[in-house]
Amino acid sequence: MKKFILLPLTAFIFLISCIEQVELPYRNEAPILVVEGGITDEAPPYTLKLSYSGKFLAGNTISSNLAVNGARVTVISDKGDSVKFEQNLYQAALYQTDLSYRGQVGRSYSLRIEMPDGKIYKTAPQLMKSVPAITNISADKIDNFIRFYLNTSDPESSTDFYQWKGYSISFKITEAVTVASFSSSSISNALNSGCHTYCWAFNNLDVANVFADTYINGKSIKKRLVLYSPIEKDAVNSQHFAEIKQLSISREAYIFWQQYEEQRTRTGSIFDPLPATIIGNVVNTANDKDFALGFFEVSAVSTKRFLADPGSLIFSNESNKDILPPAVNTTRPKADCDVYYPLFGCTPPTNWK
Amino acid sequence: MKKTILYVLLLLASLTTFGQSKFVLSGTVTDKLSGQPLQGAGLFFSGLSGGTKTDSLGNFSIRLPKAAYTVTIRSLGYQVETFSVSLNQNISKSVQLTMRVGELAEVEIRTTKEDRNIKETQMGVVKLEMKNLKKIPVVFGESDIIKALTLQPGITTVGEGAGGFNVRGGRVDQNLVLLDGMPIYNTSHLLGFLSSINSDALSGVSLYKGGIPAQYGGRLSSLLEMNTKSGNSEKITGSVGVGLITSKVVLEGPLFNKKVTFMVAGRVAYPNFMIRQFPAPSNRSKAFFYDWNGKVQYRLNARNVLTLSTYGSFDNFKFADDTLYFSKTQTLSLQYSSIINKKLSVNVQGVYCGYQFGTKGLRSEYEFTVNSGVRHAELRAFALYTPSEKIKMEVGVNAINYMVSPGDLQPDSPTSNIINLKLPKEFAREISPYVSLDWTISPTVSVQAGLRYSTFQNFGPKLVFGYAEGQSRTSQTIRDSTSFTRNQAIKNYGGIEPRLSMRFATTKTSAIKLSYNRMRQYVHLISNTTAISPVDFWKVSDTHTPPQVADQVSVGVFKNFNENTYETSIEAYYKDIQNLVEYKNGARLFFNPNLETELLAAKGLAYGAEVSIQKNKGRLKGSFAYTFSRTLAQVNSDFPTEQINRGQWFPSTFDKPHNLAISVQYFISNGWTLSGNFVYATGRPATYPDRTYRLLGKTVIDYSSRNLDRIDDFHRLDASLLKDTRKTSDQKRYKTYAISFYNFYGRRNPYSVYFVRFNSSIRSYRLSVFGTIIPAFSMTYNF
Repeated sequence: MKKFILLPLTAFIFLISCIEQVELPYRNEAPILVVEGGITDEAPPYTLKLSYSGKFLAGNTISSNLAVNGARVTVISDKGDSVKFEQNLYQAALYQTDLSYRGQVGRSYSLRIEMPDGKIYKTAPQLMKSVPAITNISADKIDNFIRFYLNTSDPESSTDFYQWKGYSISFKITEAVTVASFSSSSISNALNSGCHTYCWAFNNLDVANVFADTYINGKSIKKRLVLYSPIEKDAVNSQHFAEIKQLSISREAYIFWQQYEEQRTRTGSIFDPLPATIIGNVVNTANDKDFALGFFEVSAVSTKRFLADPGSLIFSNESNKDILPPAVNTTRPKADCDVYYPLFGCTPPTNWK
Repeated sequence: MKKTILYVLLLLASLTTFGQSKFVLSGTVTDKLSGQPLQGAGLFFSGLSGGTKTDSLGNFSIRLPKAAYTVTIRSLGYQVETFSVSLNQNISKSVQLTMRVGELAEVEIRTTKEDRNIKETQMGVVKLEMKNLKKIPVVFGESDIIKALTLQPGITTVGEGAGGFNVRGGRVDQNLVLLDGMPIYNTSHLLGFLSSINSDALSGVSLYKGGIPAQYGGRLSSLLEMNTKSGNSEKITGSVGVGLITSKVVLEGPLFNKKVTFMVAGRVAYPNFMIRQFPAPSNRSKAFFYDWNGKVQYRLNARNVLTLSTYGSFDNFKFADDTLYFSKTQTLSLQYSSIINKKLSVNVQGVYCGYQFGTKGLRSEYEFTVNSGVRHAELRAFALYTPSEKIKMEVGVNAINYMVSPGDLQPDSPTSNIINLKLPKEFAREISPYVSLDWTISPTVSVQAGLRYSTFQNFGPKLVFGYAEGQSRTSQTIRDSTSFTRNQAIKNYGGIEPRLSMRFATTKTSAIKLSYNRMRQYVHLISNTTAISPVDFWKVSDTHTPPQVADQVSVGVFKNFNENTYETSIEAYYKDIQNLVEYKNGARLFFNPNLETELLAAKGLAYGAEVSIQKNKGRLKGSFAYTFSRTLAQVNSDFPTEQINRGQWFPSTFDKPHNLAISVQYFISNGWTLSGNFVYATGRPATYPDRTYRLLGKTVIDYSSRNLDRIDDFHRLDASLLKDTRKTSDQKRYKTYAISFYNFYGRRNPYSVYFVRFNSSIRSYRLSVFGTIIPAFSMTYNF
């Protein structure tokens, strides 16, 4: 709510202010443990990424030198049963459960990580709260993007915190191919040429879209923007296959992701909150001044899919609310499509419902 | 307590001599032209070393041995007046002083005595000359009390465009701002770009940075006392001013046989035409504000005066499409002053202050209004006893009743998805009796000593949560709750607040002064942003939020040169603060029913040295102020979420060690004055990133050490040219014009530095609020 209220203030600062890029010296502090992931009531496996914090130019993906190797990771439930997260040897920093253990709504789970150096990090028990179903999904279009929205009903009897995740699969074109107008024949041409210049790829949401029912408890959440799917400018009418997940999260997780977003959208305005470490829920049991970055999430999930046909969507003039669109490529990437984008396949998904 | 006060009174009374051969000379000193009482006019008597001076109502009274005297009356800016008197009985005498027309045809009025910095016991006081205020170049051409104060040593702000001010390392909410005794909870218009008091309505402004007298309490850092004009008692006068974003009018004069005087002032802003010049979508923003002042003084007779004062302000700020901020202040005061006899006067004042603010959301299906507010009702009574010209003593009490509404959320349309949500109101009272003594022990030593006993009570109705011992306070560790009924005491705080100032005159033109004061603050502005923002709200102390307590010691050396042409001083201070209100990292403050789970008690520390040189006479006037100061805070606990910087000391956001302010006014001729300011300050602390990590496939920046870095230094030059069309000082109708240039050399002073990730790298950006030169023009017509 405060963000909701304060965000427009920054606009005023821009009225008479100016912003310039500057070079500043950075400090580099000692690396610390970073935890990402958790368990849900969806089908296993569940994954956790364990990495170390790094220097400034370390990139967005966790490289092998930032991965935590050889940690012993267990999740224990309030009933006493437990599951181990085993390290995946093919992907840096990834730990996952086997396929036999499934999370259940109403149970509490705590994480225990024993680091290679013997330090033990733990969380307090995290309750898996139930989540209402997504009522429906709708979409509209703006320049460059299809926007997906959801509606849901918030239960009145409980204090609820939501997180929405989602992805879409859409058609992409890379260097050296120009398609004047998109048609089914050109799609087959693309397929014939392999998957290097045309492909179907995932668009992942990189924002933490969270919400608290504090101000709307018991009412509907209407037209909540949950996903942007970029429109391929030379194939504006190709379909977008979206999947939206609605997660129940804890108050701590809500605050954690709000801070994560606040930090991303910092504008230097006088109304920005003071920058601070985002403290999660994983702490060293022996030293209260030592805590891990990141968050161990325990959530129930409801999922809904939606197939958007841009040709039948209305063009909207409404401004973007709640989440901001990702950056757009203005020039066509000079690379193979199946390498450049997170590939779904050379053909679109089938039976999307 | 009552006994103590009586005892002190008796003790003081016994110190006075009751010789048969002494008589009282009393009377009033006024301005011949306007009839306004002159405060601080000095009366000197032939054959005597001492003298006396007039009080705020222009009254004086002195007990002298039976003799014939030649009395000399001096007041700065006025011709010296003398008269002879044979004091063989009690005599009352009224004196009118004529304003001096300087050889430069420039009218100088100082409301303060020219060597007061040496002669008064008080230290750490800044007095603004209202006439000089107009000559200080300012942004948008608006004379602004707070901007003028920041040119004085020890007074700073977080940055340009930030509301409020910081005194000696204190926070914005630690200043007691009184307008004719009425507390002002919001000193800003336009979210902080201008201050909310119309300077044209004021007759005097004093800011106490230390050695705060026992009469005042309730805030840790300073007292800003502003008094409005009493109203011309001879004829109706006024002024109309037109500027770039505001227009203002002041009207004052006598009514009903001069028994009643009045003053009304109003100011209205029209910033929208400037906002429309900006690019979309910012040009769809709309802002509006106005404020007014009013005062009516009724002199029942020579001894009894009744004064009614009122002030109001209103602000509205609508952003591009969907959010509107509003705030409203309304205050009222009724004061009765009575001179019972030559030695004793009493004063009773009732004050009401209502401050309301909030936000309106205009987004469709989510329309809402949030209302918050403070209601402050206060009764102040004191007796002033002046047994001799060497002793002045005051006994009094302040009683305040607070009602704070933290927030009330309402949906604004039947289709809105927002629910009705109301945080419970907070109730408290503060009652503080005090006694204060001004004693000129000898011509070289004087003392101002005071004791204030402040008491505070938070009372019901309220539901108070208890938290489990030995655990971090969160909504999960609530152990129990206790319900308190209406008027039931929940928590009491309080204690003795000693105040002491001492002066040792080393020569006729120099003095050394010492002061100590303890202050307690029971109301806190809850704000977790760099500068105060429109959604910050007030909170009273309660079970979980103890009062803030500050102890300050200061020492100063004061020396005047060339017959008070140059006033110089060096003051040093050290301040220790307990229970500063701090916030957990990422605290949720807005609409939080368990706010105490987000608050932390911090230790604070501030120290510094202030050097000031002022030139008060001649063609060239001005001031030079240099301050070295530090202000630090510490928050430690057994829980990581309750520590800041892992429990280490860190600099406050407004910790700017070096501060320099030079302000110069040069009178050219024919009413033309050229003036300029230069300010320099160390860049304020900021938090730079110290590591990155990866989450959701993106690089996240970690800021583990608060305020351990600094943004670039700040410096700025402003200039203005003024024209006053007066030929003589008693010319009634005249105009003044001012052209001003703010940020003359267009420096892009950094307000803040922030970091965003761009693909896989981190980029840093610097934001400047006024990144260019800002010219302005204003005109005033006086009649």
